[in-house]
Amino acid sequence: MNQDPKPFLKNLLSSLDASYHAPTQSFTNVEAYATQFGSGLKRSCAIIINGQPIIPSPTEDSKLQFQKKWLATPISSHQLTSYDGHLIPSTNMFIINFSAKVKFDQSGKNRLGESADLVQENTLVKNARPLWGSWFGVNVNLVVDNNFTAGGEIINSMDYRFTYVPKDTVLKV
Amino acid sequence: FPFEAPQAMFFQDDEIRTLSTNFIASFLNLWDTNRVNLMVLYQNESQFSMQVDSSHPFLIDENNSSSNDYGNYLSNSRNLTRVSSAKSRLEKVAVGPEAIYKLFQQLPGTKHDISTKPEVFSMECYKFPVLNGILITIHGCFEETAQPEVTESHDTRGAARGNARFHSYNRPKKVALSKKSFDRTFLVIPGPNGNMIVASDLLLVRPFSNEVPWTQIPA
Repeated sequence: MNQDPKPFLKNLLSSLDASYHAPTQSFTNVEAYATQFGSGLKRSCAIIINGQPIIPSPTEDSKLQFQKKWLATPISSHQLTSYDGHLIPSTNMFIINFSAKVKFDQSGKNRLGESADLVQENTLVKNARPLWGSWFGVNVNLVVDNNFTAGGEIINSMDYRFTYVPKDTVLKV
Repeated sequence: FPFEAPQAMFFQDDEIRTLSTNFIASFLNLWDTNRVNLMVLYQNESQFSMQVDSSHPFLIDENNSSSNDYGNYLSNSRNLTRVSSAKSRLEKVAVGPEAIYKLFQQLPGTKHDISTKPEVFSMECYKFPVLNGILITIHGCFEETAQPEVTESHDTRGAARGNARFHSYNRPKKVALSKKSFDRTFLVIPGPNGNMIVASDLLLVRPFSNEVPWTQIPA
């Protein structure tokens, strides 16, 4: 492997983990925020999450559907723990199998910092930090075009599977 | 979690379901019993490599006392977060049947309970359009049943192929056998006479967890 896909994988994971209100990056609107999740995905990318495929509809391609759903998840934090990949001869594509651990914010807020509580008692807490839950285990398989340094939409398929779900999570998977 | 409830098995269509379940069942059966018979599936451009993710989350409980000793794996592990030199990265991919078989022999003997306990396994299968192939990913666990047929110490060049009873080379200590969890991805493409070829085989070994998310699916 002459190119290291590591920066690419890290970028992918950090795009999934981006938060809406952050000192370092902020987004002008929700759309700009949502469309950066997995921006390396192709519009027609085959996406499978925990064995469930995302089926594109005539109005929404699979990437957009994925981004909409991901927007509704709590803030996440991925950590890459292992990866390996093969360049498949005569296709210019890599198959990458990587594993990561991921924790989610359990404060009850969504990615935009909103919670479903109608009575907001804790308005005093201004700079609420995420309350991280336990680590989940994830195994992900990607088919990626050869030119990952170029950026852009290069992921042909993504198969994201939780391999371990901690018992003390409030998140219903 | 806004995504649909997890599903243990995913198949893009029925044809792929038949093909891939048969493939996995016979592959794992031979993997457990006689790995040399698998070599017909690999060709000169086929690639195999394995990686160890020892920091992967798993359930710690009293029934899961199996030590997570990766002594049999670490020397061949191609966890690229930990292998940075281009040379050793290249060395840890086996290309072609001969090299692949050599690496297979260095992995412990195993037993996969796929026929008796299919619920501990989970699979996704979908098309790889360019080569008219299928990508098969299986997640599950196995039991180690035997030490590797061949173990590779770091100074294999000088070592004579002696008649050591249990191992080809002297080893400092025996590695305890235990259960492990794994994820394995195959790229299977159609071969010349209707048979199948494994173009790419990526094996990831991680700590055993007797709890798997796909069996907790509410009925």
